[in-house]
Amino acid sequence: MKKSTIIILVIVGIILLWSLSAYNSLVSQREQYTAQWSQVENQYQRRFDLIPNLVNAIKGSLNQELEVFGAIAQARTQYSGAQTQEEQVQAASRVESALGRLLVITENYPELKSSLLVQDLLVQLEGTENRVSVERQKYNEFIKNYNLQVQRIPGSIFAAIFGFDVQPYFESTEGSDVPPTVDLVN
Amino acid sequence: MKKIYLQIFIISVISLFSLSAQAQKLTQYVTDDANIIPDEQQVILENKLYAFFASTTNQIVILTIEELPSNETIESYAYKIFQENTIGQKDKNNGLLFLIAVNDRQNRFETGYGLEPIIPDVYTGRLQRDVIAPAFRDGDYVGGINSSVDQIIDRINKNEVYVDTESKNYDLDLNSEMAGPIFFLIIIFFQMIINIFSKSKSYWAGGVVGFIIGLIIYLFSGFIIAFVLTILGLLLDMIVSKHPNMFKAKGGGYGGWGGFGRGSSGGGFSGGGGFSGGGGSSGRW
Repeated sequence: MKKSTIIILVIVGIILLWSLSAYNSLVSQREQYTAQWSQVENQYQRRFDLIPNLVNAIKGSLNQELEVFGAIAQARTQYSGAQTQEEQVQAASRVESALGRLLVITENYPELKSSLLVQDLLVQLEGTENRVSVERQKYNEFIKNYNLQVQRIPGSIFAAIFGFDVQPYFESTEGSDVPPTVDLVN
Repeated sequence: MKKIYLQIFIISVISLFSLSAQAQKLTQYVTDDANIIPDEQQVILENKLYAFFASTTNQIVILTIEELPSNETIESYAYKIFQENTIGQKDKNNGLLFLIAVNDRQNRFETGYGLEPIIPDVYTGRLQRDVIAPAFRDGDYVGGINSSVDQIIDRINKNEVYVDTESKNYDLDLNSEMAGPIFFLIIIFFQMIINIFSKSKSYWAGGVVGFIIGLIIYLFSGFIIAFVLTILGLLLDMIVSKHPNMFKAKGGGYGGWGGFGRGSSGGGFSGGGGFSGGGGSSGRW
């Protein structure tokens, strides 16, 4: 064999290995963020499991039916019927804002605040909220690493060849982080 | 001109470090930055927590601060501290951080992932409500901390699902423990390769050997290493083939490699690689 043939073979080999490595890394990063998304879903589920208990505990101490209970129930139905990730996120943020309103309401009812059951449920709910935000943050970090690899040269070349697209970040719907105002008349 | 570049480089390195050093690194089981625990009480508490760690590998760490950094809630800050210090053991995630922000009148238990079933949020929430808040309101920080920590230790002991009696080497850490011997092996291997290369007549075989080694390593890690090793092998062979005696060992062996001991002293805290999933509860007083 000629020397030039060997050199060409080595170069081709290197490129092959390189693309293999790039492909594998893209696949494992995609797996990572997919797995992380199911972590987020787990925490959502946990929140939904808690909500009925909390609602019942609060309802028992209140005389009137509040509009916010309807909103929570509606958002829950919406979440369970969500088809895409986007719909899921939307429904979840709606639950969040409804719950936020409910929490402000409990602040206004001293007998609710002093109820041990309500206090325990609130602690659990806060814990779940915090877990959701932690898992979400991790999810976004995975997405960031993945997106960097998809967009940066030379990774972008392989990403284009193998058909890996940029993924959207998980951002809670606008306004859901603003403290809600409560209208007790409704 | 060169000086300016050097300065820019140094400044950017420093600013990089200060960016990454947002959450503080803890070295003790009790870090009392807010000065609410008398010294002798702190020693007693530290010894208690260390003893608990030594017998069960669970790490309970206490940090008091005067005020939360701006733009941080107690939840986000506790999570940062927890991640930065990797409280708890890596495979068990059995760490717990008790963060107290005195002027904000807030405290938080950040529970490691593995302790969540034993110490649910409701449990720490009740402690905060029934034990910590009343004590802290009276200014009895030590009393509140001690009795809540005692109850947590008690609870973990009663629910101990993973008593680790076999391995006493709870401090075992791959980085410090294995680094010495691995480095030693690499040196020996390196010497062998050099011997072979300098005897062989070829100037390029090193590239091939480097590539093959790289290929093996590639199976475990990334592509870049394979590439780098190819180049390194090639360079090495070129150098040693020209100067066969350059890297020859002078004889006398490797006497200096003994004793890579355990680094940590009794009583100090160093995280074991545990993480938190955001569990725990926050309280006010």
